[in-house]
Amino acid sequence: MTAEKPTPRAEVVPGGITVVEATDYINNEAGQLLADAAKAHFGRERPVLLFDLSATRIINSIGVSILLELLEDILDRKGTMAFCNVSPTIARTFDIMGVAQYARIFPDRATALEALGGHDG
Amino acid sequence: MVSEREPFVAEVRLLLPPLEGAELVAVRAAEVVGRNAGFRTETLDAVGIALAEACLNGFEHGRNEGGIMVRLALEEGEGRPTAILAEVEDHGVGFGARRSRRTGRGGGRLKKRGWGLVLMRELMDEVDVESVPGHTVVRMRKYREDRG
Repeated sequence: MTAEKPTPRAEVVPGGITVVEATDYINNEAGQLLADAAKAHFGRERPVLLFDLSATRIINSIGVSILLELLEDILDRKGTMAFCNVSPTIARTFDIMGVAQYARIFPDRATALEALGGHDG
Repeated sequence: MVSEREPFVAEVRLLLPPLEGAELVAVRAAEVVGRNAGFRTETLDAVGIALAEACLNGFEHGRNEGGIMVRLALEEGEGRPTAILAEVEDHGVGFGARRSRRTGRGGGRLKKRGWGLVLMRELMDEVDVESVPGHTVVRMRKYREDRG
């Protein structure tokens, strides 16, 4: 079921926000692909990164741990990491694992972009 | 403590090899079983994440040649499904001797390792682990949201 390894879609939108669309399952491999896709677009001192989890239903702790490493990197650069369209169960998982303590979580992409657009990084 | 309760109104047994992504077979099976019994998406998402963690633990610590056994069952009460029972069995070293070999660095300000059992306990209603060297069963139960 994971024979296909789709590359996450990433783009930099106006305001310098890097938006990465995650796949349906964030495991170790997908987590690393997400992190790599995000880092490839870091062109600023204080990166602002938004993961859109519209398509994501399942995550595992290894995948989230890779995102936590990325989060630490972003925090070290005084940047911002955010998520949008997060299912209730994934939001709870983020809460349990400490992601929600340091990353911002928005209900949808438009709200996220509006809020992050005001970020001074 | 997850107690045994009968009868089961539906049951699925899977023998999963330690292949990349094999845990998703169990997750999808639980989704099919639960959806047919009227469980909500949010409940099934929680079962899915917990079940994936249990399977990954089994793959990591079990004997690779044997794979893991996953058993999913719907429990019935007052004539309708009331809970999903998910069991994951492996024949590895046992929980007491386990040390994670999963990829990922452990340092930094955020804890990145050892979340599997924590997530299972937080996302499921009941979790019980029976483990001796050579045989481990993780037994989890999630109740239907509207059970009486």
